Amino acid sequence: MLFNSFDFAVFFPLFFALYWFFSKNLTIRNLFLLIASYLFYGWWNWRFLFLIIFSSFLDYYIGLLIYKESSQKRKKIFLSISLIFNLGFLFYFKYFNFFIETFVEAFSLFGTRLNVETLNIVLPVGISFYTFQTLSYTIDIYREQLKPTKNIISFFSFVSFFPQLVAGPIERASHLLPQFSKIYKFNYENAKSGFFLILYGLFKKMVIADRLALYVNEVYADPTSYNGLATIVATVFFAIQIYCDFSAYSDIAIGIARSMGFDLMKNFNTPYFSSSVTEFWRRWHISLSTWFRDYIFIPLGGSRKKEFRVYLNLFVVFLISGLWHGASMNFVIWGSLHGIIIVLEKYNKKQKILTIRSTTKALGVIKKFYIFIIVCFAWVFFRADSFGTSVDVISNIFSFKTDNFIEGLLNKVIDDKDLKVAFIVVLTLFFVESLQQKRVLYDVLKKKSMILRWSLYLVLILAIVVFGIYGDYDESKFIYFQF
Amino acid sequence: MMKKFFFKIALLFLIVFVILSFLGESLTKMNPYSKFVSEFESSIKEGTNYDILFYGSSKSFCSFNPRIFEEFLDLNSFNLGSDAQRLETTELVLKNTLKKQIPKLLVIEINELSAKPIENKKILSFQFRCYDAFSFDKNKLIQSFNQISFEELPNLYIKAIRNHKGWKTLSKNKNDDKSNNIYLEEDYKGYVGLQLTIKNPERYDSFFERKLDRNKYDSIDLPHEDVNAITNILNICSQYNIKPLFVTSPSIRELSMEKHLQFSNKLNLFLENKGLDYLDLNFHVKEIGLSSNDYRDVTHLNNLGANKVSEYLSKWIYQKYNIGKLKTFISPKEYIQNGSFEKNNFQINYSLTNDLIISRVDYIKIKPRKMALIIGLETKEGVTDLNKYRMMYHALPNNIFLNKLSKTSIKKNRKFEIWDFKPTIQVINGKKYIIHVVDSQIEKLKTISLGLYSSKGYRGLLSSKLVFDFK
Repeated sequence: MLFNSFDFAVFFPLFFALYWFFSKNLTIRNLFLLIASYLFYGWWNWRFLFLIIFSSFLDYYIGLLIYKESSQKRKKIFLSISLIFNLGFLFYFKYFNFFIETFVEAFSLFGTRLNVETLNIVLPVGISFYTFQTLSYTIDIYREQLKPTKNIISFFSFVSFFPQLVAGPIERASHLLPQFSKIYKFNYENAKSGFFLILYGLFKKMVIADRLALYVNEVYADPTSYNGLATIVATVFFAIQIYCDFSAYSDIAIGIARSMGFDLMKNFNTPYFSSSVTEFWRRWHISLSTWFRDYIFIPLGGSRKKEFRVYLNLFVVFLISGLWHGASMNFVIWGSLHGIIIVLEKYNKKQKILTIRSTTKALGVIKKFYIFIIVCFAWVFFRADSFGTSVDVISNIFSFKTDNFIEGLLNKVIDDKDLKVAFIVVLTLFFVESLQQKRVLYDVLKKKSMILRWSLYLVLILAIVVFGIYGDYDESKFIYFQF
Repeated sequence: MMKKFFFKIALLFLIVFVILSFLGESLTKMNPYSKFVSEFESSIKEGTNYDILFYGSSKSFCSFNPRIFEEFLDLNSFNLGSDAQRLETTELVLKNTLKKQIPKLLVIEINELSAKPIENKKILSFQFRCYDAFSFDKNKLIQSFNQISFEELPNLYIKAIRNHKGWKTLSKNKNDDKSNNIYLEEDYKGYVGLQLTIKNPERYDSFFERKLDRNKYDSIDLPHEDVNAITNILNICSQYNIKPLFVTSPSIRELSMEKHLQFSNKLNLFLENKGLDYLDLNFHVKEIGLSSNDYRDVTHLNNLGANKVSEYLSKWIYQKYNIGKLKTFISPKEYIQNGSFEKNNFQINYSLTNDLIISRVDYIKIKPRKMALIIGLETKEGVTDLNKYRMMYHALPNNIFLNKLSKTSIKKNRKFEIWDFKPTIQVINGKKYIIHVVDSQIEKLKTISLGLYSSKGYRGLLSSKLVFDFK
C-alpha cells in the first residue's frame, strides 16, 4: 500500500481510530498493529508476507539463543545463521541476477560467452530496509548491547511496523523495540505535529517530487534528444526529486508513528546545505549512514586503524552503500564516487593541502553550492538506466551553451505550465529548507495564529489535490521502494 | 483531547470537501453529454413524449439520427448514447431515463466491447462523464459500487480530484468544443453528425464486397460478462414492461473481423432464445447502400452514412413493430414518369445556348434533406453530352428557411446557396432531362437562378441568367 494511494487514505483513518480504541491493552494493541502492518505489506503481494514472517521467527529465536548461550563460539554460530539467512534472502532476491550477469560479462572479456540464464525474481518491497533492521537486533544481542525480547508479538510488530517497514527510517532495535512495551496515551500535540508531517510529506512527494519527475523522466529516457541546459535542469531536478521523494516518505513515516505515540529517528537534516560530502552523509539518510558506521565501518576497524586502512574502510562502506541501493554497475559507481570524495576530504583534512580559513557568509554559500554540484554529478549515475546513458547525460551537460536559454530550458520537455509550477514549488522548498536549518517547521507554525495555521493546512491540501501528480500518472511510487 | 482532535480533523475535511466541490466545477471541462441529458429532461418536463430512445456508445450517437426517424416515421426520438458507454453504464442511463418516461421502443446499440471490463483510464473517464450527467441518488450509488473499482470512487464523486489537471486549461474549460468543430454537420437530440471521410476510403472497398453468412461462424456461448450485462438490462426493461431492440451499428473494423462476426452470431442466438430481436447492421451494408465513403473512421459513420443507416433502421422498425407512419418520397424519375413534372410547370422554352433549350424547371424534396432540381431539356441533334459546360445554380430559400443555409453561405454572409454543378443528360421516356440532387436542410425555395458557363472555368455566362420565381 502506498502512502499516496486511495487505499491508504481509507486504511489509515480506520487504523488510527481503532488503534486508539485498542491502545489500553498492550497485547491487543500490538496484535492489532501487527495485523495492520501485515495487511499494509501484504497489499502489494501477500506472498511477501512469508518472507517477513520467516525472518521474524528466525531472528526472534536466534536472539534468544544468542543471549542464553554462554559459549562465544556458539554465539558466533547462531549469529552467522541469522546473517546467512537474512543476507542470503537479500542476495537472492536483489543481487542474484546482477552477479550472474556481471560474471557472464566478465567471462566474455576472455572471449568465452557463458550460457547462464538469469531468474525471473520479483524483489519483495522494502527487503533491504527490514533485513537491516532485524540484523541490527541479532548483532546488538551478540554484542551484548541489547537484551532479547521475550514477547513474540512485540518483536513481530517491531519488524513489520508499517510506517517505516518499506522505506525506513531503518530503526535500531534498541530504540524502537522498547517502545512496543509501553502503553501510550493520546497526545494532542504529537497527533497534530504527526498529521502535519504527513501532510507536508504528501506535499513534497506529490507536488514537488512527482512533478519534477515529469521533466527528469523525459530527459533521462533519451538524453541525446535534449540540449545541455535541459540536461542540467533535469539533473538538478532529480537531486531535488529524490530528496523530496525519500524525505517525504520518512516524514510521513515519522508523522504516522508520532501520531500513534511512537518515536522514529530523524532521517534527513537539510542535506543540500552541507559544506562537505562528509557532512552531506551526516544529513542524508541518517539511519542508513549510521547503520553502516555501526555495523560495517566500526567492525572493519573504524578510524582506529592505520591511515590507509581507514581510507579503504571508508571506501568499502560507500561501495556497499552503492550496492545496497541497487544491483547495477551505476549504483556501484555512484557509491564509489562518494567514497573517493570522502576519502579525499579526510585526506585533505589531515594533510591540510587545501584549507580555506575564511568564514564569510558568501564563501559558505559558494562551498555549499560546490558540494551540491558534486552531489548532483554523482546523482547522474544513480538516475541513469545504464552507464551509456550516464555518459550521454554528462557529455550533454558539458556541451551547455548560453544561447537560446529559455528555448533550451523548455525544449518541449514538459508542458510549460507544469514547468512554472515546478520552479515555484522548488523555490518554496528552498525557503522552507532554509528555515528548517535552524528551526523545526512545526515549532514555528504552532506559535502562529489558528487562522494562519488552518490556512496553511488548507493550502497544502488543496495544492496536493490540484497540483499533485496522481491519477493517470503511474510512475508516482516512492523511489526508495526499489531498494 | 482525542475528541477535540477528531472533531478538528472532521471539520477540516468538511471545509476541504466544500472547497473541492466548488473547485471541481471550474476544473472540469464542459460535458456535452450532460447537456444532452438536461435537454432530454427539460423536454420531458415541457410535455414531450418520446417514441424511441437510443442508448449505447459513440456508435449509437454517430449512427442513429432522430431527425430521420421524425421525417420517415413521424416518430419522436432521442439519442442517449455516450462515448464508450458500457452496458453497465447503460443500466444507469436506462434507470434514470425510464423513470421519467417509457417510450414505445428502446434501441440499445451493442458491440463486442459493450460488456468488456473497463481497460483504461480513458474509457473509465467516459463512464464518469456519463455518471456526471445524472444527479446523485440511490441508483447512482449502487450502480457505481457495482461497476467502478473502489479506488476509483473518489474520482467519480469528487470532480476536483478527477479533473485536477484542469488548472492548466482553466480559461477554456467551459468552452463548447462543438462550436469550433468545422466537421459538425448536425447536432440534434443527442445525435452528433460529423461530415468527414476516412482517409484513403478505397483501401476498405473490398470489405463491402464480402458476403457475410451467419451460419458460417461457430456459435459457442456468449461471454459471461455479456450475459450478465444483458440480463441486467432485460431485468430493467421487464420492470418497465418494455422490449428492447439490440442493434449493432456497422463499422469497417467489424466488417473485417471474424471475431466480431462470431460475437454477433453468439449474441444473435442468445437473444433469439430469449425471444428478443437483434439487428447487426454489418450484415446489411449492401441493402443500406453503405460504402467506405460513409465512414469517418474505421469505427464510426459520418453524417451521410448515419443518415442512410437511420433511414434503413426507421423502415425496419416500421415493418417489425408497426410503429409510426411511414412517409414515402417520390424519386425524380417517378415524378417525371407519373406526369407531375409536366403538369406542375409552365413551358418556358428558353434557349440557354444555340444548342440547348430549357423547356421546364422544377424542384422536389426526394428524401429528408435531399432536394432534386429537374430541368426539362431540348437539344439540337448530335448533342449527347454537356461536358463543355458547367451549370450555375443559385438558390434563394423561402424566408422561413433562411436559418437553414449552409455553413459556407452563413460564413460568407450570403443569403442564397451556390450549388453549381456539372450537368449530365438523362433520358426518361425518350425525353431529355438534367437532374441534380443536393443535400440541404432547406425545404422550400423562393428563387432559382440558372445559367451556363464553360467547364474550363468561370469567364462569364454563355447566355443571360434565367431566374425562376416560385412565389
